[in-house]
Amino acid sequence: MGELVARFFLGGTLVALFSVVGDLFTPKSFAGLFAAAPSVALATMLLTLHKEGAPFVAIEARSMIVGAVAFTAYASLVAWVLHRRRARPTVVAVAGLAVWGAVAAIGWALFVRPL
Amino acid sequence: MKIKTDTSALRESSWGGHALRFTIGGLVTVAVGLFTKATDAKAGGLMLAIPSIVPLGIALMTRLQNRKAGPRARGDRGRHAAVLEATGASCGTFGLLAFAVVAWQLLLRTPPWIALPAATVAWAAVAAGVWLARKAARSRRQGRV
Repeated sequence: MGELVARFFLGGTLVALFSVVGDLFTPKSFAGLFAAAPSVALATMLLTLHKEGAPFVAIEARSMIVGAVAFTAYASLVAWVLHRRRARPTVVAVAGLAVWGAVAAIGWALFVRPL
Repeated sequence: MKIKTDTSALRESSWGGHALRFTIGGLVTVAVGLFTKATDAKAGGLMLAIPSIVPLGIALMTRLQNRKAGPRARGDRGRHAAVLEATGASCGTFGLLAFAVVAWQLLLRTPPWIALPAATVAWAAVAAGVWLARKAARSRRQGRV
């Protein structure tokens, strides 16, 4: 239970901190960089290092490469759709998560699972 | 447009929005931990790059900009802000890729207190570099027209 509470507070703090730093910058497209900050990754890695050690976290980081490629596909698609269609931004951003899931799943099956 | 810091945006953003980001960020971090425990490091690692906070950031940004613009704007200002946020995030994902590669390589060779700060610096450098390169390419295209 204590570990979950630590995860919650560390993850929440890092996500909020990166968001606040992002809010400080203009233009807004530069501030958007902070939406892809490694906040959840840092919080998870810091806590996992303590429990499982560096080799375990290195394996996580290697798999994260595929997740990051999926994130690129997701963010590019959301920007592209919103630029060309009069769609509701929140609906596009939530529905686009399926693209992240699909690209991550394909990357997992092709590159991560066989390792 | 030059990169600047502007504290007025902090006054515009609500405490409720920050609290929501804190809560969602905390919950996602817990979920990633539980997923890794239920599977393994290979599967759990994928979740370290989940775009958990992007939909919330876009929703909050759209609401703020639409409120500023008023009903006549029909959501155009909010949509434009969302495009900028998503475009910035797409540049930032290249930084996330650099973070993962540097963390993977350095965690096998150096102590974690070197590996993780170095990976974070790599994220910032690559994300900002891709954003600047994209901006320069766009300026060149507009200059040609």
